[in-house]
Amino acid sequence: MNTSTPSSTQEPSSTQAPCAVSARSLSKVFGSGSNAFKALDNVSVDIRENEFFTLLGPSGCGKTTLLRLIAGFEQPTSGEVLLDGEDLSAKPPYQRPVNTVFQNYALFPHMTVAENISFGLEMLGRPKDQIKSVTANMLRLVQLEAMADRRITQISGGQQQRVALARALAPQPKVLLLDEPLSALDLQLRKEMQLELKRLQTDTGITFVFVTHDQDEALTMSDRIAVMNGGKILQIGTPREIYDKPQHRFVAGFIGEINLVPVEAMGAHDYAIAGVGSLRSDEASVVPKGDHAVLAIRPERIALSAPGPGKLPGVVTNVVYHGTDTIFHIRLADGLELRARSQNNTARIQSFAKGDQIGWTVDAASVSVLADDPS
Amino acid sequence: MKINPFRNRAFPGDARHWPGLFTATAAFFAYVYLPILILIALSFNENRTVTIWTGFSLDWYRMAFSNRDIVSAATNSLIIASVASVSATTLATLAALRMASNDRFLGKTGINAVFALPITVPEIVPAVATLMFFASLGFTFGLGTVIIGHIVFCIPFAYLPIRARLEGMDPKIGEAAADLYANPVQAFWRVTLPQLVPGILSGLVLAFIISLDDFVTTFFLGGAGSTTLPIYIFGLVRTGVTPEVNAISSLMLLLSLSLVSLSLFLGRDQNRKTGPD
Repeated sequence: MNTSTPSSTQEPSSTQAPCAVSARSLSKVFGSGSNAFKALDNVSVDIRENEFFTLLGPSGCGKTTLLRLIAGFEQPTSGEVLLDGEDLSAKPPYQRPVNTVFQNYALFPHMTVAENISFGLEMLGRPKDQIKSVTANMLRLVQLEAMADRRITQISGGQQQRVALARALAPQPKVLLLDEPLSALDLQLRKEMQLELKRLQTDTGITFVFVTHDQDEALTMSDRIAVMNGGKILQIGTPREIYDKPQHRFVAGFIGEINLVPVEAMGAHDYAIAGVGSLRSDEASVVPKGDHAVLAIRPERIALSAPGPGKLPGVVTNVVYHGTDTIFHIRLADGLELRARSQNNTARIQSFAKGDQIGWTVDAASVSVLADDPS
Repeated sequence: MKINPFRNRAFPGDARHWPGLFTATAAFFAYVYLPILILIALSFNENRTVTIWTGFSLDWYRMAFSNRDIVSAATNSLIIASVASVSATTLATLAALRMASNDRFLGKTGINAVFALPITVPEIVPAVATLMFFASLGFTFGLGTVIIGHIVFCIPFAYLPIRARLEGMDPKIGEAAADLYANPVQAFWRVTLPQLVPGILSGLVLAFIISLDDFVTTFFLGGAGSTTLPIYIFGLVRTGVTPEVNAISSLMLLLSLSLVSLSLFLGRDQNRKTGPD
């Protein structure tokens, strides 16, 4: 189990794949004086080769700024960006072996689909026959062979999205940067493109750095996720680690639904909920005995049953039916409310109604312990 | 059942239902365009008397083309308009490119306003000012001085469409070019300029027409051998209107309309998105 702090998870490990991109103490301040805004605050991260790495966070968290610093569109205020161990600071964007898929694609409207895709190769001065064959391969990869001679304005939004991808992949960059590339698509198309992006990443073996504010997207596609807020990286981990073992209140709240229960530490693994009872967590306490902490518990990990010994008490205050599952609102003795999600995997009528006294339990492995800081 | 309560119902706020709308509109267009249509019609009249139609003829066009003075005035007009519009458009393009960059510098808003100012200043003011300025420098008045004067008032007409085109361009496209290994020079020639061409052509055509049509500046800054068509026609009219004048005017109208159509055709928005965005 990983209970280390975020800063120590960022240390490169010799057993892992080599780093494609590294940020070293990267800061970016926009404006100056009283208007100064710190978009990125001393961020360090190692992105490994062949990895689908996602920067996840709300708007203004610094994720796009980090991407733009890697691409070279912005210069860092301090710190450096390394690519394959080489400092990129002195290189303008057109000398960096990274390519970007822009949020609104930024395709060249005066060129055809094929001309857009071959542009990067032409600028690199590749031989004509190579440009032709790579462009043909890319068109096949994104299934746009029939559209090669269409103008950008004559194809749909989903097709434009695929052209943007093919254009950025054609020069075979060491790293592909994707700036919320799916945000302009409708839900159906977005789901399809999520799978297609993942397939492209696996097929090409190129490192993807993907920026999004959509937690579903991040969880489905990523090898690892960095959750960002306020210009800082709060936690880096696999989707499972981020979801199951949030190490920060913000991370817990930003990804999925979660119950945050204020507790007092009673020992290394035991926590008291005032007036309710005690809960056990597999995680070692982050605070000394007697101090306050917060337990983070996913609604679907709470098991409901009739009241009984070894179970914590509660009263059902609301039942919300969602089709695939039902959400129970449960008031604990001191007025603290929990939400429990139970999947409707049988057609049996659920056995709890508003006002019922119930008992609930949580597996110790499903309880995360967070420090009781106000952030 | 009425779905839209405003449909099929006259209500006072809607200009579509004002009384006499059709008549007023027809009267307006007749007032503006009827004299021009009559002028064009009479240019094909075989009769010398301007007001009586007797039959179709191209005689007046033939006479206009064989009149050495008219041909030389037309040549002057075309030389001045070509040189002035190309120079003005080049300068306007450079200015627009600099002004469209998204940085801020001291006086940027002011400079932007000053670019468009010549459109609103009465033409007589810069014409007289330039005349006195050139005179004090001891310039010889002729084609050269007229061209300099024309470049000055053509710049804002060229600048505005180019600037509008630049504003409409996706600022990320420059970044995309740099991201795809185009250095700044390549990015300009391969990505920025091709997209700017419709705006540049609109500006060029507009400047050309404005220059071709100009009377005041040409009159003040002209000298021996710099007579343009508007100046020549003005001279002819003072001695009596002949169908020859109708023919020249019709030809100028045709040229202007062709150029405007060309510029509208080239400037039509090819970048409009068709797919869902």
